Amino acid sequence: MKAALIGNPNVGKSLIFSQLTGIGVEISNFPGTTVGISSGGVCYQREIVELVDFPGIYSLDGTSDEETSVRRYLQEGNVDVVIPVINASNLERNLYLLLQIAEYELPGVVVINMIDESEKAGIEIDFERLSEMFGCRVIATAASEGRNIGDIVPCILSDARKMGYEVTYGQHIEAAIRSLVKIHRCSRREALDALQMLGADTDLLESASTIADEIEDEHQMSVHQIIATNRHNAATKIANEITSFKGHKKRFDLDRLLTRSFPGIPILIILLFSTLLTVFFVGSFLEEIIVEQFEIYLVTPLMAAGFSPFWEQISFSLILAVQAGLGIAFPFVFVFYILLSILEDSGYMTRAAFLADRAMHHVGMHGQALIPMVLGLGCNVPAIMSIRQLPKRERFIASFLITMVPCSARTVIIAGIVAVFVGVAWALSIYLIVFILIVITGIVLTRITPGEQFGMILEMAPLRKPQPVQTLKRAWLHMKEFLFIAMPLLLVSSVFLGVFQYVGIIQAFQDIFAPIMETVLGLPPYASTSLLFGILRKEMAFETLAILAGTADLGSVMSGLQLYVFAVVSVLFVPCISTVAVLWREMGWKTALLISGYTLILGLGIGTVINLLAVTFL
Amino acid sequence: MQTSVHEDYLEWILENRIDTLGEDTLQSLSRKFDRSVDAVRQDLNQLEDTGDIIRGPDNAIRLTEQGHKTAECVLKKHKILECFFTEMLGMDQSTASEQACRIEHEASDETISRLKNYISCPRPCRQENRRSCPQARDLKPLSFYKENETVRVALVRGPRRMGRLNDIGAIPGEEITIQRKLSNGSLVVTIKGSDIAISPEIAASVLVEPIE
Repeated sequence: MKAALIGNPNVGKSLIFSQLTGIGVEISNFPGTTVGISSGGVCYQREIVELVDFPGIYSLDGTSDEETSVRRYLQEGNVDVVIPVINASNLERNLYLLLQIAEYELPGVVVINMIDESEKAGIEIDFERLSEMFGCRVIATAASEGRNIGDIVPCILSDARKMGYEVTYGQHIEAAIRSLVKIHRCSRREALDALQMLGADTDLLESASTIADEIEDEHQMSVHQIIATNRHNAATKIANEITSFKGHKKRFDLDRLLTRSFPGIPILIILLFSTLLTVFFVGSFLEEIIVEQFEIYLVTPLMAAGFSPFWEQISFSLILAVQAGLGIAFPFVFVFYILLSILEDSGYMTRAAFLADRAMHHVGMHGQALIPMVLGLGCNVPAIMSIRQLPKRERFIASFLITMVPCSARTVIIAGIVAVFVGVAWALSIYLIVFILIVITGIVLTRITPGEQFGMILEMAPLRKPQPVQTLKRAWLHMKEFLFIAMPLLLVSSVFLGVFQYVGIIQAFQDIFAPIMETVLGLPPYASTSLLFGILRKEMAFETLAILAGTADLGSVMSGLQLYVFAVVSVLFVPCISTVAVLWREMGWKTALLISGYTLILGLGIGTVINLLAVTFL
Repeated sequence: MQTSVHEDYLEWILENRIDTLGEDTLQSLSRKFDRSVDAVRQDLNQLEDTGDIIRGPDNAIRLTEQGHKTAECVLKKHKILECFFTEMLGMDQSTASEQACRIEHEASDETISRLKNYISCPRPCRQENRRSCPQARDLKPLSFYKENETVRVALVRGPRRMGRLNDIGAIPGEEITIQRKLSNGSLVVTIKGSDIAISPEIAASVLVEPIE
């Protein structure tokens, strides 16, 4: 049996899902799309229920990727039981989606979640009455306390009844439905969809469009608007009938501080800064320990083992990749994701998106794109995967800008080379340079990218105290993307690099490019070698440099200028191989090549400018 | 039989695309017009006599050209009146429909055609002392209002992607409160109990009116 959780964003759907399924969760995509869907099994009295968690949606007749995917999934009859999840403290808005779900006339069990919050707010809900209206069972839950969550699965197995509620639409819509149903023998729901130009039946769509045009002409409103209005009115009626309001909602409104320009924006900057600093300090502390363990237990024994040179090369590159991956993954990426999950869980990220919205417009995006950009500070790979929900034009711009965001690996380069050997202020100046370049790139891309800019409509998640378990789970989800997508790419590309190095391709490559880089960037030969290495393996640029220089005290062999140029170039140019691969997958090879080319030129160009300026004026 | 009832029958047959007159159709007719089934039968006979419908074997029924014309005319009047009541006067759907049902029989063709013109291109009222009529209301974009003001949505313009606004509850007639307005025009508004952040250009496409 397959059951699906459907609901608005922020109704605690995912929490219910994870409480029911435990850890065995699989994240896949809707067939043919990039919209994520989680599924997991629940076993109850020897019956297995496959539970699916859809992304949060507001409507089943929208045109966003999520809405389209969920609609298609339901239409194709892939689900045996639907579990609409409704937020008890915002019943009216949530009922709108429930009315749409009921039109599918599938068996279902309605879950009214967050009754703890509605009870606190003094809202009383007549669950019995709601159950009568929709003809199915209604379970009142409080997922954050785990209350009544256990009743859901037994209920869907034993008592999932067909849901139904007929909304009375405006006379013209009703008349249109009647004639469509009559002529095309479709269902009421299909007729409604067709009037809104949704569905696949071309005959039906054609006659629906003629009727819809007529209705729109007469009402001066789109059919979607009319239908939405009717549904909202029905939802209001139901909500008024089943809720009674006792007492008053009293809460200290933190938003008074968080969403104002002052002190909201300083708070935002302080939060982001302290996140980055924490990541940096905790990260470098942990990194040292992990890297050292690798050296002692894997690298040294391997060198002593005496494999044939070919295999030694390959296993060495493999271990180096694992070392680099884990050395950056857990200390930097994981710490970053934990902090980020706290911000997400508390509902703060939506405030940040609101504050940043206008500023983001200048670089061709809107507030929602702030979250992927911040994610990019951890690792570019999951950040690029998370821009899927943006409109196409913004996705294109965002993919450029995110690749330029200094990720943890690049932070390691800046910190390890510039902060240590040149000075902390210089290290920060690199961030400033990157930031300015991101802004300029964004402004230019906004001008030249075709398409229209569309603003943001984002629900502010209510502020909540983050739950440790939930936060860890969320961080782990982000982390999983890194581990299972970025890491394998890293390992495979490392092995290839090992082979290339063994065969001598890399040497040949170096011989061609090293002289050029020496003249324009003013770097010693081994530095340009490790720089070239850094194209393919960003996280290794620093280590390679140390190895090739023959000393960890880089300050003794290279001048401050050389180190600075080295760091700037390796931070800017060509994203690491995993990022390129993920760009290819998400955006197509053209965009991936374009971005790689752009960053390559940008990195070398800026490096050259800095070098020439310094040589001329100092 | 009164002309209005006569027209109502024709309208109903057209609107519901009735082609057979089975027992259940008679039942619903009798419920709709609050007449006994026998009375309905008689009425239908009369309709046949006046040449508005033709009946065939197996309870088949259809409107004659004349009947079709009458029915279409009444249905059109009904739709225009109802539209005017709901959209322009802000009446609720069922009252509007009920009222339209009564007036449709009395309103002259000219009244209706003028009303239709008015709906499709409303003119501002010329007489100043008259009570403000709907289109002269000062509809201003949401972005015009200040923090903590509560306004009523009148119209949402824009492409289909604006559908999200309708889905979260920004529908004509809905009251929304501006929670926060930044100097750059970004807004947080409360719609149906949730706080929604919207960009300035979106706020500009939501036309609202003040609440008296």
